Amino acid sequence: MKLRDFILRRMILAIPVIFGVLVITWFLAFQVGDPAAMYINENTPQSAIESIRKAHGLDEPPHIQFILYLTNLFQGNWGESTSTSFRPVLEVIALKFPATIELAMLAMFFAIILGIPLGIISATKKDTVVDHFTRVFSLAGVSMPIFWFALMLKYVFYYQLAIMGLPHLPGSFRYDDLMFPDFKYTTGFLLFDSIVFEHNPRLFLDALAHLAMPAFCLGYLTLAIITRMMRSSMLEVMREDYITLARSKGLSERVVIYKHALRNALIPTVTVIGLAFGGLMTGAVLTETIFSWPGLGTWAARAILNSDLAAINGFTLLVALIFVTSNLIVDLVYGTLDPRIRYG
Amino acid sequence: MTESEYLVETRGLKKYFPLTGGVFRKVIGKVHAVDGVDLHIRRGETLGVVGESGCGKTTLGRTILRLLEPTEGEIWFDGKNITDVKGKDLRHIRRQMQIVFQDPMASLNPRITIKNSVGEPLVVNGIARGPKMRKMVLELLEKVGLTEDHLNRFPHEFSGGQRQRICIARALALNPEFVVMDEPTSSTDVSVQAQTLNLMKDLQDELNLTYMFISHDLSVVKHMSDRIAVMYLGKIVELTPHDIFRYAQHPYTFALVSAVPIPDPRFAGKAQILSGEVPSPINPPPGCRFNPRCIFAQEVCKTQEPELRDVGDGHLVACHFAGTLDFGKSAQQEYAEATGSM
Amino acid sequence: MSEHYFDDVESYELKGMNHLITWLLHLLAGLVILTIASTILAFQITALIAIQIGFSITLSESFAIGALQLLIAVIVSYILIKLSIAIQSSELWAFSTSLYLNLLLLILLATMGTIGMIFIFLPIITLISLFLPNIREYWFPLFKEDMGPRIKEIRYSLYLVRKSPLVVAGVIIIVSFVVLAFLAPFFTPYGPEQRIWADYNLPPGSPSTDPNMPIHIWGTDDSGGDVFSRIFWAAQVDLRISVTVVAVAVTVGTLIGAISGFYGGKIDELVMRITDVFFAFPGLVLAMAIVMALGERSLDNIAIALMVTWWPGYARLVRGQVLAEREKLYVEAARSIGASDMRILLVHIIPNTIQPIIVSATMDTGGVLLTAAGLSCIGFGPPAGVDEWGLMISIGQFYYSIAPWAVFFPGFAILMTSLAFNLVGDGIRDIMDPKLRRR
Repeated sequence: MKLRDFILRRMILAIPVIFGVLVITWFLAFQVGDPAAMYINENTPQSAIESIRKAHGLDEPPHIQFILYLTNLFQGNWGESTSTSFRPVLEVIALKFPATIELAMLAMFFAIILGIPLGIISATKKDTVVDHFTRVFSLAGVSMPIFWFALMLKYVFYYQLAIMGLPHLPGSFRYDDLMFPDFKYTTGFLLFDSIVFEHNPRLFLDALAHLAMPAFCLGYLTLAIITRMMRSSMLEVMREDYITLARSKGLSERVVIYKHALRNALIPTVTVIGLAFGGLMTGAVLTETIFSWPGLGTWAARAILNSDLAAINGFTLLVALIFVTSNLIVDLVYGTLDPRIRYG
Repeated sequence: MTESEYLVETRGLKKYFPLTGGVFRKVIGKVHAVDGVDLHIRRGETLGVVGESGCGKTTLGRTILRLLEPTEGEIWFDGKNITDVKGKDLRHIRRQMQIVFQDPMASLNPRITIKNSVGEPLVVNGIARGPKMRKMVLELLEKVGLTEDHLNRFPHEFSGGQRQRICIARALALNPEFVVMDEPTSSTDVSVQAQTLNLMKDLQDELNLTYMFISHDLSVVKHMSDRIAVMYLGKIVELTPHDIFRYAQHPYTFALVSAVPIPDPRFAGKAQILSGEVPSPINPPPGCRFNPRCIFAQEVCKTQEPELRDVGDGHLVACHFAGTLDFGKSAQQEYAEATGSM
Repeated sequence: MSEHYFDDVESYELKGMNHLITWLLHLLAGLVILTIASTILAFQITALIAIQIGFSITLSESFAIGALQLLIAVIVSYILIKLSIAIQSSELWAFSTSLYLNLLLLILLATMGTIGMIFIFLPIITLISLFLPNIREYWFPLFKEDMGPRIKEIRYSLYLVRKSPLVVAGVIIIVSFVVLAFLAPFFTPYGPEQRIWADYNLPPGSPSTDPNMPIHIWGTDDSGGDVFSRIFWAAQVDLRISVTVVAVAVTVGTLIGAISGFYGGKIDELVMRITDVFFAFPGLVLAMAIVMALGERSLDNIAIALMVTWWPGYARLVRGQVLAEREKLYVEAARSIGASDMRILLVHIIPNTIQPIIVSATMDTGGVLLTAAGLSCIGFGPPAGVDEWGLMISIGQFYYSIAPWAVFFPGFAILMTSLAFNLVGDGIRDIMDPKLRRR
């Protein structure tokens, strides 16, 4: 009962948030540019412009247009993305979403696999060379300009290796379409498609190679955040009395750290991981632009530069939805991990 | 009830705290922290208030000072109704009523030196600032036994007893008439406690103060107070000008008294320990609040709430059977007789 | 009768005379007014300059210029119009007044000038007068006494800072970047807009094609700009943007958060919903949209967009702190002695919540720098040619295979600056942690 109440309350609270996001983006986008401009060029006659405006409801005052947009939204019509050859926004999102999610998942994977052990080592070997190195490494991650890091990675692992004639990592796109000219997406998740539908391990490896640089680049920030969080919460936990008790019972340091301390130190880290997922979306805009990744980030940046209102609105709405859901999931996971938390 | 006799009065004072829950955070219950208290405090006396933790004695003290808004009832101070006083008038009233909190460390701002902490009331109320404020603060500190060296230190550089004396100095800065002492000694050890208590008594004589002394320590309250009020679940069950250890009339008071430890092994194990837990203040039991734990409880106790009535010499008891109950002798009384003290 | 006759004759004889005199008086008055008007103009200009300089030091510029000019113009034109009307109707007082009018106006101008001078010198005078021996004696001992314990604490903090090598490194980097940014005009070999087109994409250390120009230490970019010089010219811009954005965001966020946390209730609920909305946005995308909605892709608009996206973080942070602090006993103690809400908030609550704000402001300065550079890197910044690190990378990325130095150095500068701010912020957190401090 309590849990259901909690979820219900959070969902009700999410409604004004989503609505606020909609209002702000819509009116910002309204300022960005005239949507009719995308439908006309210098040869369009004046009378046609009027009819185009009328056809898209652009002759109405802004608040009516906003309400029109809302009603369309609830009917599943998110408008059409003028910068993506006038395709419906939902269709474009469905096309590009898997690319971004695949990237974000792999980035998260990198970050977790490296971040948690690094944090533990740094905390258990506090004030040693290893610790100092880890701290600088993670601080560098927080202060790393992603776009520059991407370019530098590309320069070293793509360009330099390539001109030296060594095997190198590809620098852009999701797979090599010269090597696999007749590949068609099924689910959109390339790693999944290549194995399950195409039965093509070479495509799988190629896709993995394409993912490697962008995913590491995108994941570095999250890696840094996770490492720092893991280190500080581990240090916090190690000061607790029950760790002293565990040690005084004669347990080995290994058991103390991995059985008693780690489990409690993981709780705040899990929260950070959940919240960092939203940050990945922001980072994706920069990373995808540099690596020409055909995902949502590139699309959103291009949409804003091209005054593609429907796309801007669609993208922000999607990210807001992801954010709200991931927050809710984080809170629920937090509750299951920490028995002291009660929903209310 | 002439104006000169009583300094502070409460009439049917109630303070409830709302409890929220559910999807829309609706109010689903109330904590009855103070539930209908009538008190009179005479000029220059010390009224002790005792009770278990959670019985609402601290809330009572804060509500009288209007630090908490009363839910119902009236507060009178110096012949004026101050229940609905607001803004400037409220601040003016507060100059005459002060409070010393339980935790002296927490009640001093850690980033402000002692001089400015003690001098703040003077500055806020426009009495003194600059060198004049410094001089007045120094006088106050000397009154509570601190010296000029202490002026420019931060709270964390002091011991617990010193901090409590600083708090007392601050409370006295505005020359109040009435001071609420909210468990002032509970966070210090016994030797310091005695020092602080004596200081308070001396100050009372010197400055003609009226105290409301809140504590859970019966012996301390007895040492300090002219009259003692015993609280249970937001209500006063007994108010006595007599020695509470000898002439307890309410079964709860008796239970409290008999639970005070005696430094004599011959009397060990004789204390009457109250059975059961304190009922939740969210849904206090009907009738007499003490009835679920009272060994003398009758049918009438479960339905009818006893009034606070006078059993002679201004000794008020809220019990249907006040004066008729025979508690026997408490261990304390036996001990007192055996040693010839008390 | 006879008297009347003489009167008549006299008046008759005087009539012609009168005409002449009136005419002469008019002429005289006109001349006087003209000279006065010109002197006024001269005086007014000098006085106005004095006043405006004075006011612009102490007051906002628009007020100083607009209001005072209007005041003088109104007074002077009122007097002149009144006088001219009076002279027109041949009122005698007007003639005499016009004679000593210049005296009056001189007094007026002198007053205004003095006010202006006072405003110029007021801060200096106050400062000097504070240190006069008989005034100093009044406040200085108290000040010294109040500052004593604080200085002790600060000295201890500095001691802790010195012990931590990472913080020292961060401080050194920040200080040297700030100093180099300010000294850019003196040590950079090339100007901010200076391009030698023949020198495009030269590697680091190569001499310029123009024999009179110094060598390019860090190479040149695609348009022949000296990367070394440009980076330090750009440091001015980037540091200014990140510091202003954080300063504005901290101020606004702290105020809103503090009020929301302190008063609670409806205001709090509203503010929290608004910050929720901002948190649900992808920050970068919101900033992009704001830049576009503001109409022009420029650094100023990037700064505005970042201010808008950054304050909710501080509002949240401060609100949480204030909520915790509000329940502390010393706040209740302050209330019980009759302190006003404003005083409680400013004297007791905010100083005790300032530590996490300082820490996150320091770290965010690096974050803002990154985001601003990122925005201008993907095309939301000013047009090419402006010195800004993100923009240099943005342009350089098209030539990154032939001229990687044009990308590497600006990015490295971003990394170092941002890292320095993070190091310092991280260090401050440890230093201010009450658990690690002696208590």
